[in-house]
Amino acid sequence: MSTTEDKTRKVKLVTSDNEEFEVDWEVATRSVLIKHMLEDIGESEEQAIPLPNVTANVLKKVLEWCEHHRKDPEPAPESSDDNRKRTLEIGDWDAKFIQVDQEMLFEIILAANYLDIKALLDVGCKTVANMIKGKQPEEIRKMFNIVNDFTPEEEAQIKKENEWAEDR
Amino acid sequence: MQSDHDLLSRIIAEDYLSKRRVTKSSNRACGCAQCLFQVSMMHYKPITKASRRDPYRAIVMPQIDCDIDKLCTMIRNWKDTGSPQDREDRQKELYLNKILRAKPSPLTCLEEARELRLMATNLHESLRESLTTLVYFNDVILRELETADKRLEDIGRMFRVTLLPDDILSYIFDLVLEGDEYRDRTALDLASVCRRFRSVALGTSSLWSVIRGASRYSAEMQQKNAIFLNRSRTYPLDIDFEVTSRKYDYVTIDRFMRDLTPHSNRWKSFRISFDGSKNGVNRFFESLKKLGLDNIHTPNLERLSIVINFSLNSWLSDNLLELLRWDAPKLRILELEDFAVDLRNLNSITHISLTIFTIDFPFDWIYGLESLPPLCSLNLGIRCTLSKMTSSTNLTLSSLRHLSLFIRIDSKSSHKNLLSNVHCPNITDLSIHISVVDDASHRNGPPANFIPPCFEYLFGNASKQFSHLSQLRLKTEAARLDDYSVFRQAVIELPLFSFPNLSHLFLEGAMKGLARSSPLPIPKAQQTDGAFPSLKVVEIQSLYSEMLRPWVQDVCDLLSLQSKWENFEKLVIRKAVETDNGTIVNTPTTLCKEELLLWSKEEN
Repeated sequence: MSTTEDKTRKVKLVTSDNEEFEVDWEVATRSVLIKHMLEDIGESEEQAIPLPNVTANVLKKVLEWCEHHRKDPEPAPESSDDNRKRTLEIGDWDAKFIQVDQEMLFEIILAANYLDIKALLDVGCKTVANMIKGKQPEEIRKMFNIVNDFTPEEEAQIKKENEWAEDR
Repeated sequence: MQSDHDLLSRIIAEDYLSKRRVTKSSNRACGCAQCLFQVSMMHYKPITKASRRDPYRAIVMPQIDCDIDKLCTMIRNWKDTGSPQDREDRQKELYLNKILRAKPSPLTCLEEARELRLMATNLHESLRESLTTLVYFNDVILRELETADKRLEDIGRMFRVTLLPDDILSYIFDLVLEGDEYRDRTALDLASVCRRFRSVALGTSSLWSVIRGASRYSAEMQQKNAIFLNRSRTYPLDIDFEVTSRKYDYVTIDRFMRDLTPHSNRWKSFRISFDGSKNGVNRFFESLKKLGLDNIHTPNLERLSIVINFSLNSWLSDNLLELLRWDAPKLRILELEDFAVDLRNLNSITHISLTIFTIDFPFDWIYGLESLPPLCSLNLGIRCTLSKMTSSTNLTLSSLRHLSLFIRIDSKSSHKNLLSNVHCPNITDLSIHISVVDDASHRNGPPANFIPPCFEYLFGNASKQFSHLSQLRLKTEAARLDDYSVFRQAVIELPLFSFPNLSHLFLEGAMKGLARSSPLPIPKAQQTDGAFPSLKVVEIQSLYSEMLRPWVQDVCDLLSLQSKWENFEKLVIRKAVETDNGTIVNTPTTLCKEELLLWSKEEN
């Protein structure tokens, strides 16, 4: 539970490319990782939190999301993964926020995973899932520029597995 | 020097045309722009068939293999000296100076004059040739730049998707299959993209948990099921068997069920749908009995669905009720369409979904619901006339918390017996879906006229029946998209003032025609009856939700007037939008209190 003192507190974050960000405690603690680190270092306000896996341009974007969702209720404790899987629905602000190029999209997913921001990770994963949905393997390869690296033997095996679909 | 130059250029050009490597000749290049360009062109490597087969090489390898350092030195020298030459080439510099210092005055020596003219002509030609060379070079660089841009984009995309950890990729795959009607097909597609995708897909048991069978159960389908049963490991199974043909034999059912019976402890849901005929339904259950599969133990079965997809001219044999006697101690959900099962031994059922299309349905079966103590959710779809429902016995479902009603409005329907006799005193969540299928069938007046009696049967004593109601969903479906009359009438008739604990209201329907000229009123008569509910959340699902602005404003005013505005949290507007790939995505917009006040005052 956050106190009034916490809400006025500022937190310094340092990215892998040595850029420093000063943000509100409430915004920074959308990340469970940062929250735990802050709990570990205690009251030391001057101490900056190093984030070696996040670059400045990605952290800027992640903090934009955290700022918008700073008042959101804390996510429920994870009883099972089923809660996260129910829908592919994305709120309209999140949908606009995540309209970025693919490189940034995957950077946001990786950052959300590293920083432990489940709601943001969900937004990213749902966006990728919506991109894949309804596409054939060749279309997926084309979209993500994935190389078909199957050997001829593996290709034959896959073709055999898919004979059922051709039979339908 | 000039002749060597020409000779070298010619050799390089010939080698280039003959597409041979010119290591030797490139070593002999004097370093001027022309030579270097020709050498670079010699080493230009267009994308070959080999590199196409190896796309990684095609993406990361440079397309020009030229000595960039030499080119840079040449350009720097040219800038410094005004001549396309190396700094060390003093002879050339003197040669150039001699021309530049020549004065346009009469010359005494004819030989000197001819020499000067020849030198000036050579320099002019040399510069012209250099210009051509540079233009070519410019084109090549532009092409290279374009390739480099594409390469950068490709590399960015390629590395990012491969960088996602397995657990995230696995989660994304699960999301892709969410709500997918053909999820088994999609799982196979995901495993056919590349080795990485395949490895992650094969490691995600949930992707392989749907097992399908049909009366035409081919060897390929059986083989596919064997793969899925293996890959799903210990994950709970969702099983779907379609009886699609009138002609099938015991062997088909036997093969399918024999594959599945060893995994009966993993059965989580089992759906049987019939598209054939009444005889087909009878034969299916008789087959199960004959094979001894009508009485098997399914310790983890949670959901059973039996669906009749064809029109029943007369009701099925009552014996069917006793034909399926699976021992399913954890069965919680029962979904039936034009079908009924023996409820006596199903004591664990908490949710029942019943859709009735045939007027011959044994309506008394519904009264058996009273014998299910844990039943907390009932989804009742009335898609036929209830003229054959004669019983007017009260049905009291005390344990019920969630009631969902689908009511098809037409002139022949009489919902009175059912709606007015159902009592659910502890209900907290009510969903009403009113559908008007065809305007033409309403000879007794517009369909909106049927709403008041319908609501009267249902809410006749609303304050008694629905005193615990906290969530209400009202959806209307008109025959025409622009017909808002049913929605309008339903909202007007909704006795909101009789639901003191209502906190969440969801409205969906045709709103296109609703305008300020015919605003949706909150009936004054209701306002005098009691307290307006302390609403916290209002959700509107419509492409034309802005048509409800005046109504939302009235609601806000009423909440303020009754000092309940403090409790209000948000308005959620949902619009179903079709994406580029044809998927329907529902993007909700959430307006907090301050935003809501601004929104409700905006002009349409």
